[in-house]
Amino acid sequence: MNMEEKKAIQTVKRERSVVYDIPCLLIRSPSGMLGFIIVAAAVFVALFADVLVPYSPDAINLVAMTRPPAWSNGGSSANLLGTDVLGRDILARILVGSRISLLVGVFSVAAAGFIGTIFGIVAGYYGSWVETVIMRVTDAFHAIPLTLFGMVVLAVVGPGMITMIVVIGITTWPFYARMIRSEVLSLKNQEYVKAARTLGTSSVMTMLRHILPNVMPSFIVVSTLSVANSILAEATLSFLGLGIQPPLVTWGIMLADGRNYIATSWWISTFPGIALSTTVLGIMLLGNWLRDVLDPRNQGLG
Amino acid sequence: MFRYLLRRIIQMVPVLFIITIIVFFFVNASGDPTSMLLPPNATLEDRDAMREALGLNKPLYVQYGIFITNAVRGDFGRSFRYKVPALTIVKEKIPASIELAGASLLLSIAVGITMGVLSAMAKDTPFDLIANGFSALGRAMPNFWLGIMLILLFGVTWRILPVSGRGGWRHIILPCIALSIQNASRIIPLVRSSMLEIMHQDYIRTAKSKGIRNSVVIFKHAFKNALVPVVTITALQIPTLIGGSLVTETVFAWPGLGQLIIQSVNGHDMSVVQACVIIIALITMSANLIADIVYCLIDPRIRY
Amino acid sequence: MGDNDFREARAKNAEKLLDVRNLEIQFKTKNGYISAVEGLNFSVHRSELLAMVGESGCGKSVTSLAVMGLIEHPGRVRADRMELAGVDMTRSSPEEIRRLRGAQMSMIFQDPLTSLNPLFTAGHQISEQFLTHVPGCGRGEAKRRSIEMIRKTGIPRPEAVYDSYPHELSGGMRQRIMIAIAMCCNPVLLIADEPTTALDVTIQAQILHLMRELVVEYETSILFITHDLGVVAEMADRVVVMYAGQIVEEADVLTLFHKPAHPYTKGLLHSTIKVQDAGSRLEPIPGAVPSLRQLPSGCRFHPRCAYADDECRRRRPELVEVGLNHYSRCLLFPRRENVA
Repeated sequence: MNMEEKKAIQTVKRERSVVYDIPCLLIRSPSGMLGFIIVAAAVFVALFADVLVPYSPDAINLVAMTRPPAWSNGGSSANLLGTDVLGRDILARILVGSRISLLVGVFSVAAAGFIGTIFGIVAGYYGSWVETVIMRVTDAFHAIPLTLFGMVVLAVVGPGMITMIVVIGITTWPFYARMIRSEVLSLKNQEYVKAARTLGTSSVMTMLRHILPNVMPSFIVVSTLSVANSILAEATLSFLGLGIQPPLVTWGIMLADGRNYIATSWWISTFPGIALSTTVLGIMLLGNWLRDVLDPRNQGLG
Repeated sequence: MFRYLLRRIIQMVPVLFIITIIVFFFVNASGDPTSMLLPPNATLEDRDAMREALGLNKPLYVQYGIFITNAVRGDFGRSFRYKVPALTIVKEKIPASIELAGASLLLSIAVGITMGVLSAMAKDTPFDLIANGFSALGRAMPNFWLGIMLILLFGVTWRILPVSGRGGWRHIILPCIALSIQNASRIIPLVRSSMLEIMHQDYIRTAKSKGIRNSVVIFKHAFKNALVPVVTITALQIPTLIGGSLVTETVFAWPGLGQLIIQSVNGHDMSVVQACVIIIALITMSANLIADIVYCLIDPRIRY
Repeated sequence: MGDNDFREARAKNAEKLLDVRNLEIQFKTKNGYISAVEGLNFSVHRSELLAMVGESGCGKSVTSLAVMGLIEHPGRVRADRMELAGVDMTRSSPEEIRRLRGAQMSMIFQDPLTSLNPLFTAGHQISEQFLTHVPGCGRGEAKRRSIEMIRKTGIPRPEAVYDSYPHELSGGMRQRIMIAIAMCCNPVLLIADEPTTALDVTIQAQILHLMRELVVEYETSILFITHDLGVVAEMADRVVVMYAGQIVEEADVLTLFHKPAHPYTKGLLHSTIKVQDAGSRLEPIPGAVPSLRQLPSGCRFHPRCAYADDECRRRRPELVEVGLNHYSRCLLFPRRENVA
């Protein structure tokens, strides 16, 4: 059995035991548990928003304009978290808004992971000038803030959910490319030792098979934390009016709406922000917990 | 050290070059600027004349060639909106942006380092728990929402601080706090784990065995070592900080690059947008270069 | 008067510089506290080099750290008495012990590569000592005295080395800097924790030579911690052999090498290469140091001892005097005759 196989088997074993231990490990970590509960709740809400909401998020009700939350003066139990300037129910809009946040978060990370993996493998595998060019391109992307790049591209191409996913994917792929590349490099040297010099498509597949189990733990951790950042980016761009457009509902749009009425109706911009921050916090806590659990240095301590 | 820095500066050139390509491609490859520049009732001839005048009928790479040669000379084209060179407008807005981003960087480093060191020294105490919680929350809250909440509290409810525009020192307080909390929250756990790791190093044991005062061991021997990774990662956060400042500027009506970009993007004033992106990339890279210099000054082992 | 008699006489009359009584060091684990060292009594006399010998994990390093007051959470230290030059450190405040560290007692460590702070120059790390412990010492004077100290450790061009960072120096040079740091306030006690283990053999000899020179010059006592019996034979006046957190034998160096009383000591001697009997087989001690969580019943050495019987498994041996200033913790060989 050669080194890689041993390593791969160890990784698999580790993961299997981790999968097996997840409930125990979660219970032992309060912050991990909190993160898990928040994320589970957010996913649940996104999936069943239609069933959960009492009103359509777009139902304009001019009688109930800017109603404060139920518990404050002038509030009504019909609109728990109040209504916005068009009388739309804030709670309903928050629940429905979770969908786009999660969708954009997950898919943009998938896009970034996909692009990054390809470029990382190409860079590490071919080396020489190809690698140099790809690495300089990652440097270039790194020097442009995500928000700025998103603003420019969305302004030029036109807003939309798919565009948003692609834009976030394009700006964050360099992280994955670098991670995968360094893994390929360390693996390539081991391959050389085995004098496997015939490099063809099949060996690319071989490398993928060897690389993926090795990078999987860091991949999972980085991806989880990226989902949080992508959700924030989506909210930011939508807040600026460049991302998702009405009539779709997102937390960013709600915040942009509420911002103008901050002096009179604080609840319109407060609650979507709390929903957004809580979701992001949950994902980050879950990501940190995964990092601690999957980090080989922490094995045996958990 | 100078050779190292020189190499870093030379490395910046191709990166900057790639940035101009990326920016140029995304700004010009799609959309027809003439449709936005001309009134809707313009004739086809008007349109062609405009394309001719702007050089838009040339192949893209020729357009890029013209763009880059002009850009090197500091000419990013004229703003359609303001009818002046794009760079002139951008230059006007830079000081305000640097003022806000710089103040926020200083504040977040100061807060992040102080809380990070204290929570490392007070590991597993209530203070440590609070610092960790603050840091987790701070990273989760988008700074534009934080800005809105600050406006709600300090501007609307208590009415003690100005919430928009740039003026005296009081004007910078709220945007600076809104922008700093996220960055500080990223620095805290970094400093904390870095300090905890370094407190276990052999040279810290040596320092203690020398009978040096505990505060000196922590703040001189350990802290300087802990700074090395903090500088590196803080430098990596600079694009995020600048990206965040663009949004924070719009929330607080801070007259900087952020506001300019939003206006230009919405008005499709693309030469200004191009100029802004490239200038911001330059600022980001310079900030990273400064971080490298600091890194060299802290760690003598880097001077190759 | 023979050399032997002289050593014995000196040992008897020697003044105790460091006197440790009933030292116990515990570390907190998931299952409560476990003792790394317990019931430890030993003393270092003036101008004496006491070697503390044992396999890794026997508690010799934590003992040295306890003397320096450097055991921290999750560890704790208890002792009836820990006296350095008449000052009982068990009754001193942490601040008072801090003032003793570096001035009255100092320490050099095993790995010179990691023991110096990489971000400060060698000179800075030496002169820091003068600035901390010598009242009224200015920067200029600290620098002058530091360079003098570097020169004393036999480093050529001390002015250049003063401004060098640790990564620019070789391992041997760094250990010389460590020695300079340790010796610059003229301490009465120097604790050396395996100071030559990480170095090349030729450098080892130079460092040992340097330590001996400085000790003679400054009349410093040394607590020398090592697992290398060759170094012990060369350097030590007296030897304490430790096993699983206890002292198992204590004797002057000649007695220990010629008439070892404890089977563990004999095992250690047999497992060391000697030039004169190259060709004869090395006899390693079977087994390994027991885990402190699961110490054997009775004598802690019995599972590895070739002579052990039922009583060894049941009864805990005490440290008893088996000769003049010669102590052993063994039920079977309480007297010298049994071993000879």
